[in-house]
Amino acid sequence: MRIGAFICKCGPNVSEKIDLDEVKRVIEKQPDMASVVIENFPCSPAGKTLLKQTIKDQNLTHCVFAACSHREHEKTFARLLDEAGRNPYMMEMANIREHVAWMVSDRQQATERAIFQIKAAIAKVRHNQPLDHKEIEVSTAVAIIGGGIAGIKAAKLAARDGRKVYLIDRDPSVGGKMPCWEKSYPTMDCNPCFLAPEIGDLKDIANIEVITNADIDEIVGFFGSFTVRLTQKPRYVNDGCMTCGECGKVCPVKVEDPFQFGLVERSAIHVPFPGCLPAMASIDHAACLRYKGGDCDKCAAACMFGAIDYNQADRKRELAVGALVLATGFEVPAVQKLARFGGGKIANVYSAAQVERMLSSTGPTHARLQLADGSTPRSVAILGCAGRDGHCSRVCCAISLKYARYVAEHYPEMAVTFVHHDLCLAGEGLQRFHDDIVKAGKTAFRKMADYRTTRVVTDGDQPAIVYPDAAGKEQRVAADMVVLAMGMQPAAGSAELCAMLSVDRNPEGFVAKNHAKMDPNTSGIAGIYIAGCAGGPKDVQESVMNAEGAAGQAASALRPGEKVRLEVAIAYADENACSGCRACLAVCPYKAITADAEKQVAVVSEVLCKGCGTCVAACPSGAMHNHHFEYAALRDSLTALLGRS
Amino acid sequence: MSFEPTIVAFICNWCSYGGADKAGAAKLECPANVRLLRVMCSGRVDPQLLVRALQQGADGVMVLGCHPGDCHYKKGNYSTLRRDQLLQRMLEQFGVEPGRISLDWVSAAEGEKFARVTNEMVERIRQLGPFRRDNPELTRLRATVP
Repeated sequence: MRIGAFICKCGPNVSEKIDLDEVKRVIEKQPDMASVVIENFPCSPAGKTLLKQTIKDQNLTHCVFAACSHREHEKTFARLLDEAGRNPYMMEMANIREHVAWMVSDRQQATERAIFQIKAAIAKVRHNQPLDHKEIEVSTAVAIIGGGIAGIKAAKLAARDGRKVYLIDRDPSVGGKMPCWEKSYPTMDCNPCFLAPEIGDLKDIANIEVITNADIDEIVGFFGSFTVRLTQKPRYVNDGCMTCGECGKVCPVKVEDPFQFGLVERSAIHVPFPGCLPAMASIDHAACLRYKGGDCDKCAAACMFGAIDYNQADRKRELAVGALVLATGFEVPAVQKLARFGGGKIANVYSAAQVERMLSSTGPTHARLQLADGSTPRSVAILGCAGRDGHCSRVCCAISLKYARYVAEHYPEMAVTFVHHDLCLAGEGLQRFHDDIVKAGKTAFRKMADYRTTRVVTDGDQPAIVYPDAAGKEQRVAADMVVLAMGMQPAAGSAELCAMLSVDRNPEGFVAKNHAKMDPNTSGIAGIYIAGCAGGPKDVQESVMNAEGAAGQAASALRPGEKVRLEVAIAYADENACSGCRACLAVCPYKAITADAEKQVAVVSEVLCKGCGTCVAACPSGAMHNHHFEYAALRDSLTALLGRS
Repeated sequence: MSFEPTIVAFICNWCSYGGADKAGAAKLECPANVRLLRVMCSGRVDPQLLVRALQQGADGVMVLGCHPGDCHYKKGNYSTLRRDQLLQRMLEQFGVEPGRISLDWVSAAEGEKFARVTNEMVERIRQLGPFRRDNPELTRLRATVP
């Protein structure tokens, strides 16, 4: 072993605060020291030339650089070693500038301290091993979590250019919330009509694989190399299905239909919606009698195409992708059930989502606005901000105006009152939309002073909205039907997904952006992008903008042939010493350690391990090791630091 | 001559090392008798090393890591915290005064905090006095640490 020490004067920075000659005198006496050189600015071109020459001339095998901070020049000296034909890991630095010369004013104390720090670095470098760099090629595949309009648009854009895309949804069909509402503002045209060709395209694009009815079990990895583990749950229906719906007619089970937001019930076996993809019925496992111990087979008996298969099982998939797009959408809170709005007990109080279903031609009332008893309301009162809880959901004022417009057109005799707090008209064409409605003169506008204290009460046989006006006085609007604008909340399960990925959420609970203004399509984690309402409330136009932005980011960041450098100062397990206790598995922040079932020992993934060393300290058997930071190295370094060697 | 303690501080590569850099860059006076040992993460710090430091001449030992929630390796510092809690209980049983081994969080921006905690540690150990290596409880402990 031939150790070389290079002590940097750093101009006056170090040389004036530390007696470098004394340092050299002491360090020269260390065992195996072949050379000690004091140099001014070894980081300069002349300095680097001298160092490289010295390394070669003196046949140095290990180098210590007593200089500035690692953060400043560790890479410089590593590259220098490489250029001198040495392995770049055969070096250590002793920070005698920031950590000694600049902190300690007493020259004597600074000199003594510098000597200890350098001795510690020498003791450590003795243990260093030549480590080789490893690279992996990035995967250019993209996994999109959430198959609503944002996920679909992101998938289509990413799939151009030959990228493999996995479009994953936990429901039996893609489509998200868009199929639920038919009328779209401000043009009053048909959402399902826009969505149908988008969904239709998916089956024709070869590199998009749609995976529905899937739960994400685990995602590990990092940008360029994620592994997505999911379980595709069985729908118990195969592709012989013609979506005729005969199965649903004979099914004895009735459960609240989430697609209809609780307006009506559906059976356990059901076709998600007209135009769903996959175009198949699906059995709701939680509702079906067969999976609760019963043996009903009415749907199989009724199916003319033999498409029911009760024996389908979970299918586990493991996907290797380079980027993730979070397109988890939003949830519609059931505000009609809130105590302040009657707790579901006052008749004819509906959430806006329920009204959307009423207005849909495929909805339970076939596009008729009707009360619980089937009659047509004579009056409707819409309460804005009913679900407003910490954030404005951006779309509800426009949606409320949409109803006003619809009613004016289809029910010209119906009285409409819109009780609003603000009037959020930020979207394209919305000011005009509003102005036309005002000009038509059929809608009354009432302004409330505080959206938090509004409530719904019964007034005779009608529901009534109670709200404070600007003077603080309580006002009341009674109508045959009350509609509550419920806003958007982050999707159920998105918090858990973000926690799994270590992705932050903003105070409103939506996915936080890397930079609110400058980088809004990316989360704080490299390789994880945000599309649609997962990042915050927006309408369809904005969701598509954002989704295509996210896909563009993902596609431009992952180019075929690009490589990612792996960390090599990583942990590894000594099989012979490992007792299989799995303490290391539990503490690893990257889930980089797995248990070899056969040998009952820990195995560290070279790809996932980042070299933090937490597992090494956790191992009770001393079986876990850390390249470049072995226990023996730290032990000997400590001994030298304390002046005991 | 008043007693000048010897302190070793284990500093993590990302936060506390940076905090020390910042203290130096700001020319804050930090005690010369706090000697620094770099690890990649405070989670790497094996409690055996902390005990060993006391046995080998340190009068006090510090572990400085990233603030909880800010660990460069996501949650290495949570392991550090849990180990420290157990270690403190154990040390008490071996007759080691509380305060000899300390854990603190210093971010890369906190040059001032680095200066403060190191100065405070030296003062605290100065008050406690030199670490008594001839404590019979410790002889038992010494035998078990490799």
